[in-house]
Amino acid sequence: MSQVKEIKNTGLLVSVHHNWSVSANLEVFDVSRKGQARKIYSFEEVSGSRIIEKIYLIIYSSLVTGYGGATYNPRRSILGAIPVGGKISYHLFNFCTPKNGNLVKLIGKSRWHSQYSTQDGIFFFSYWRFI
Amino acid sequence: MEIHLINFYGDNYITDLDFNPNGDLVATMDCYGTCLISDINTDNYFFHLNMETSHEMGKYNIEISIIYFVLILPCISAFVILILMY
Repeated sequence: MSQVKEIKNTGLLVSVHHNWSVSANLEVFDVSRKGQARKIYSFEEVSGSRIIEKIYLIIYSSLVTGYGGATYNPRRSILGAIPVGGKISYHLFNFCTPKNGNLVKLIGKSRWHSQYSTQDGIFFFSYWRFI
Repeated sequence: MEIHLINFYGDNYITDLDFNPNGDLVATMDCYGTCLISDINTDNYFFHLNMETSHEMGKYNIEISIIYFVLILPCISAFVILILMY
């Protein structure tokens, strides 16, 4: 799932891409010049799942990035995005003015609070592979 | 032909988040319906509310699941085996 968010009064667009159990990524584009989009920031990819595979029985234990969600606060110029299930509630980014040079900066990772639900969804399914 | 049985343990994850206008509080919602409010600056917990959804997609219809896994899936499997045998 991809989400594009406009950062008001900056000419910037944030693109957040989530591949539910695999990875998530965030990129910031400068679209202030007409007809041009310039990538100015790319967040390192957050890996998602780990798979323990056995012969004919696969136990799939996921560390998911989910479908994401991103929010921006114009008053403080901060963006929250890219949660990682069980580890990080959200990554916090700061948007500086262009004269500071570094436009986008990762300023923190919010911890996973113990109050979040601890129940696990468990389901089974089978698939067939013809050789 | 290989038959794989997959056992999936779905962990919790954040479905959405939002800041308050001042930018000092953040509300996050997990996939099981827990809404949690915390401080952005200190990362301290303030409040949480459990909406008690039984499944990440909302209320999980267990009847449909039982019908599928107990009745429909074995029939499909048996049908595929029969086709392969002949």
